[in-house]
Amino acid sequence: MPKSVYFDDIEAYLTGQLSAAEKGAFEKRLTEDKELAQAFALQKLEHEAMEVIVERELRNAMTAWADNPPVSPFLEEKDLPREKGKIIPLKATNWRKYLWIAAGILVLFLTIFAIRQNSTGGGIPVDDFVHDDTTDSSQVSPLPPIDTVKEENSEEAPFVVTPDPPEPGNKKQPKPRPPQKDESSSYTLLAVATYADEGNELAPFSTIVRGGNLDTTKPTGEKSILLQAAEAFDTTNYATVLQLLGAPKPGDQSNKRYLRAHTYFRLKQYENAIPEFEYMVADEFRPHHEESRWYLLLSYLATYNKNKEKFDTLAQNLAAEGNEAAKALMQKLE
Amino acid sequence: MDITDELLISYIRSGDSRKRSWALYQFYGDPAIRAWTLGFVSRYGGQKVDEEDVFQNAMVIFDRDIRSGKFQGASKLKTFLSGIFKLSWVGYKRKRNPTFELKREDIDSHMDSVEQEYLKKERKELLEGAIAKLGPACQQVLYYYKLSYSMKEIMNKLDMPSEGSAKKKTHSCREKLRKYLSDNSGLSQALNLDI
Repeated sequence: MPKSVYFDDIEAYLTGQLSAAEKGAFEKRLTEDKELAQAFALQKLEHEAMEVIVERELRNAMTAWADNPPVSPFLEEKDLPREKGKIIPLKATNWRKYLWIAAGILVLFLTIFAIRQNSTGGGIPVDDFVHDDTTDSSQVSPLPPIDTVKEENSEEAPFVVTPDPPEPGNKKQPKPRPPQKDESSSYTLLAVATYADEGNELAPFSTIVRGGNLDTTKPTGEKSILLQAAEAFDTTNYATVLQLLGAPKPGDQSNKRYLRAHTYFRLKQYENAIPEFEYMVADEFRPHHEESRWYLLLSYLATYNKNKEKFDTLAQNLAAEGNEAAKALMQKLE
Repeated sequence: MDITDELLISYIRSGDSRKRSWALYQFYGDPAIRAWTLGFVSRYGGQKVDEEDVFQNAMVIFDRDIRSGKFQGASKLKTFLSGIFKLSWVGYKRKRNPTFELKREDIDSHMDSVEQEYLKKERKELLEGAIAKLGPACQQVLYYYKLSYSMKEIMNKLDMPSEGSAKKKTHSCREKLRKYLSDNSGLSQALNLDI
């Protein structure tokens, strides 16, 4: 559908580029010209729709900020503002320089590791999913949907907001920041990559939920909260999922916990994902029990420094039961 | 360097997502603001979880009003945000109790201008459906476009070969969206459009 002859005028109005006088004149034309008014209604709607995308990303970012605040663009210590009441999410300290070097070596090691794995036809896919974790976490982005992890720029590629490159010529160019917390570890990278790899075989969550024995649709035809959350998950609206499901509480349905656990994992909140997966694993009669053992293993792996023993025990149990993926994971670790 | 409202506004409007995130976080993560919002919600019997929901809604409107130029600088940004938060709280409470009203001392002059900015839930869901039809690649392009990224920045972000191809892609995605909105008569009717 071609754009209207009024496109530029309307765009200038909608993007706030007109002066007060021009704005008034445009609004007057709107009341007089029906064709313009129709084109305006459609173009305004386009902007509203685009705004929905921006809102979704902001909500996802806010959910992630709880654990990973965005990094300050003023990376130099001396440039950081000190006024009372101002928030400096992260401060550069000298020891971070050394972390930097370690991070560089780690990235080099992982790149070589991934290339070697790819050259042998298996292992961890080297794609944006993995690299997203190694880049500046100030751009906190949700993990892409596991069933849409494809090549970059393809129509099916996941929507991931990537960090901006440093501004050329800027003396205070932001240096790449060392990865934070557990995300800095190769274990986390391996867990995320393995999750993405396995996730390609997962059905959409809304299908999983419908496949359960839960009453997901009310007699009135209204969607249940769980189904709404599952659909939000499938469209990567992780903040919405958590809003719909609420905080974990005793008596939550298993499907709810399973969905919440995956959402936490996608948001890199592994510590929150663990108790949810553990709940599923605790009773073998719960739905998703077996899958939860695997994802619990990946959650332990993502927080390996804290949960090494739990990881080792569960991995050994799974391997002893003939779980090939667990065996492969243990081999990679070795 | 002083962190002024002007600086924060320029960062929120900026095509640099690092600056934008950081600037928005100055409000989202400000303990003083959050203490105030929590206290406000508590006065009306709300809990922390209610405060988080409402604060996120308020942040979305706050961000949009700054980018769209609707915030004219008539007040401090924090004051503006507090007005939006109060109104968001009214909307939140009215979903549960249609007759809910703020106490007199909590009503201020910022509220009328903000109220009209609310997207109705149903309308938003319809638009979300339209966006979902576009696919991830177009969503990504339109996200950056809406945040006023230049074609050069979109080209760099999405690793496109030239500014021309970024422009072409943006154009085709908008066209796709426009066509969907225009062709879907049910959608147009639901959105009260005379297209």
